[in-house]
Amino acid sequence: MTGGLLNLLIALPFIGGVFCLVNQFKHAAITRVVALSIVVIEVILAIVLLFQYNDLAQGKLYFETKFSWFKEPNIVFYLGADSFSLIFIVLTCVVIGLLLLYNLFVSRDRVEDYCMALLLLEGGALCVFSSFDLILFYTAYSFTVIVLFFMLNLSKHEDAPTRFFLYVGSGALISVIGIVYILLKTGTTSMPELTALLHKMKPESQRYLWWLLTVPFLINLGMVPFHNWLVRAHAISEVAILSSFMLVGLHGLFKIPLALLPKASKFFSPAIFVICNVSIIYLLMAALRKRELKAAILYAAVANISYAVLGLFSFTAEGLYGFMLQAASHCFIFFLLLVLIGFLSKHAHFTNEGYAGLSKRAPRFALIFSFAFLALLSPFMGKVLGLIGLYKASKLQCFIAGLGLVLMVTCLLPLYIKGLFAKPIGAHQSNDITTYETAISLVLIVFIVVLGLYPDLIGNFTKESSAIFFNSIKAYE
Amino acid sequence: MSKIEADIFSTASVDTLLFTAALALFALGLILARFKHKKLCITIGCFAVLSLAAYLCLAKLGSNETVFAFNQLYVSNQYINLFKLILTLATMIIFLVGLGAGRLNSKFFEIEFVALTIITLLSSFIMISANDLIPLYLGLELQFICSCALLSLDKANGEMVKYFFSNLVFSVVLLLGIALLYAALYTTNFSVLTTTYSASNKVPASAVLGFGLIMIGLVFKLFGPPLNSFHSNTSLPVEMLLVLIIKSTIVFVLLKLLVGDLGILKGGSLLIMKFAAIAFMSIGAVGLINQTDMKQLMSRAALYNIGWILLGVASNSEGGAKAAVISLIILITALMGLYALIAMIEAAGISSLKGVGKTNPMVAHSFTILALSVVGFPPLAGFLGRLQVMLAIINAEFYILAFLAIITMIIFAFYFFKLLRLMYFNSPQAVALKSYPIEFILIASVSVILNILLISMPSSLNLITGYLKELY
Repeated sequence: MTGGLLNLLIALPFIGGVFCLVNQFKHAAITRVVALSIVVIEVILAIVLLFQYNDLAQGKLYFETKFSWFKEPNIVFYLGADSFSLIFIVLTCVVIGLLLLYNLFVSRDRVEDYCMALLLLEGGALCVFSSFDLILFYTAYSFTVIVLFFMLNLSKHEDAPTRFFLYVGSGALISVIGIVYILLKTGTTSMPELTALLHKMKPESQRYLWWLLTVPFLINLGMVPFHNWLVRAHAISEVAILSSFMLVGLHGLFKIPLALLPKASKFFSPAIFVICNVSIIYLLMAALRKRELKAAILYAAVANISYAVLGLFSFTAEGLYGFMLQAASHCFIFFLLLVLIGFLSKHAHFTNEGYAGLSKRAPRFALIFSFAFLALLSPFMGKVLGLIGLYKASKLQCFIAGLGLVLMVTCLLPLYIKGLFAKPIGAHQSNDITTYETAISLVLIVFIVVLGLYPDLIGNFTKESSAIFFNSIKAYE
Repeated sequence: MSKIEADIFSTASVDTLLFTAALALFALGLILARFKHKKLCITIGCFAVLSLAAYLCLAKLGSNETVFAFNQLYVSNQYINLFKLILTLATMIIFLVGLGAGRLNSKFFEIEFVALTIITLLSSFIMISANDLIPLYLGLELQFICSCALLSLDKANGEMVKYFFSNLVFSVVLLLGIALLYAALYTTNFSVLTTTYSASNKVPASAVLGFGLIMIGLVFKLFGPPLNSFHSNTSLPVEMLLVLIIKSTIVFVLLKLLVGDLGILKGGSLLIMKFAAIAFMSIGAVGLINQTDMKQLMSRAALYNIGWILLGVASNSEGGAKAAVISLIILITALMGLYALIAMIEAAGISSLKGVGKTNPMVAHSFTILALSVVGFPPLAGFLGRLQVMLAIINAEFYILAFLAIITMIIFAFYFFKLLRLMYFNSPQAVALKSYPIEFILIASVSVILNILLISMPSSLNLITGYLKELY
């Protein structure tokens, strides 16, 4: 299978982004139309790719484009897609499409800039998912970081973009050391070859490398020692853009530390379990203390990501299935919650403790919030599968993670009750979410429900691949 | 590779040309004092001279012989000719900026500026092709005097005095090092030194100490200008001369001495290089915080990048030297574009960058690309240099240095991102110029194109590093 379609999929947003960059301030309407049409084409292309892949033998890399980028050091330009990255590609295309709609119709602030940045972000993220060379991966990853930094800055908020850059930028830069070390010791950065080559390394070096390559993605997902940048972002009204970035982190965690260094990943999986469980408990406790609804929601949403990572590092087929499901459903849940947070931070009278009594003041918001809340709390298939995988790996950690689910309910329910049904303090203004916001939320809800009721949508697609993947890494454990 | 003692004028033709041209320009200045088209004459004259010099360097680049002249005081090979070519091109760009600046406020591009710049270039050539410590010192002093004269020409007298004294101290340290070396080894000639000591490998400790002092002197000269933070009053072309020409010359000389000619003496000097690299990077990066003056900012950015280059030098390997040269070339290409852009915005402080993204989108985009390249973000050329240096230092197992470098890079990048934020997200302060001098546009666009294209054509850089074989 040649890489023509995949290359088109990646190139199109870049071309559109550059077009918008040149066209920026002259013809606003053209910019919007171009951005919208490109985003739609991307979704169609991604689904076509998915169907094409479905007809092929599973567990292999297809749509490859490979040529030597540098002779010395030996770096190849290597694009391709396997079933896992294709799922992420489709999810990103859908999420970016919805983000563009959200921005066009809801926030309506500096729309042309957003169109340009979203297209560039989409190109960068798709490049991250389909790059199978470490240097190319790093290049695409830093590109998305830079674009997101600019997007966060569009909101005129100083603190969050700065933190974002300091945390995520440092993570990306730290990984350079690991990548350069790999390049020096193995002489290549092409991922399919690396697993075998890295396995021959001394266990100590593998372990150091593992940390260098894992920390960037832990930062990206806002795991506990590095959560600071993400949970502060609630003040930005366009915070929804972060939902696309989370996919990049989840995919990176799967593709780099786990696939390249399975032995070290297995060795450090208890550490990851601890980090995840601490994240869940700490962030939920912090959410309980928050006096702002939007901050509390964001804390809980960030805590929810940990279940995906727990499943991933359990090294079981159920865990991986759970990871994929959780990644897919959580990306929509996260998006939905971020839309709600954006709504809350747009209206000053809902900040601090002024959010009480939302069921009367903003009934549509309250309805959607109830659903999102339910989706966050209910043990979806993704979480259940992740916990089953975790149970096989470590019973104690599974118990703690299960407790986390209970804690989530106990922490968030008082907030929910107060937010929706308590009597508002002082003068209270009403302000409900717009029709557009409702529409986008409903679309997200449809996705969440479909994924919840019919998880085989992803399961059928990745079942064989995950079996092949586990067989391949079992040899290295 | 044969070593030939050749006829003086064909070997040192570029240097002779520059020397004659500088003297002729002074004479021309006297003759043409009242002439109406004086400026045009000077412009054509100096560009003709520099083009000829560039052509001569290019012509010599083909032969891979090492040629000695002036009783083994002077040496010429591919490595040296390559750097002479780079410096000549950089000087041409400085003249272009001078022309553009002259167009804007009509003060610039006087005959003294042109002649002194050419002499500075000549002194750089002397330093690079010195095969003995004495001509090296003479070149350094000539350069130092010229830059002082240029500063006072700029009416930046206070700055000149600071520059003079701080440099003088380190000249003395350098001289002391040369004296110690001579006292220990009875020679200052590189060829004699290598032939005498490479076989036996017994170098007296005082010689190593002397060499260390020479390195310290050079490192402080490299560091010098921002130490006194005097850059705010100087004009842009002089500033570019101080940062681009003088600093890169000293880096070339450091490479030549440490990796090439006096490699046997390096001993503790590598440690000096490591310290210097870390000091340069941290002072360059931390010094940027709350910096509001555009020129100081640029000189600190240069300082930071030179820290990375020194890391490559300190790794003491062929890869490190290659990385240093590649980084230096990329740094020069990126900095010249940034200087041209600063001249275009007429930015004195960083507040004048506010809202440029709205008033001049193309300028802002170019600035972004070059700034990201200077910071070292992929997929721009600067990343290529960073990657090579990183490869060299991790190959030499300097893991702590690598971590320190990354930490400073975060601080450095953060500040540049703050600038980009000012450009794109603040409301504009001043009305944009309608038309810019064509010189600035030319330099900036060439610089941007190079910084984007170099990463996709790494073979062009391999071509350049191919000339480095003479070093070893």
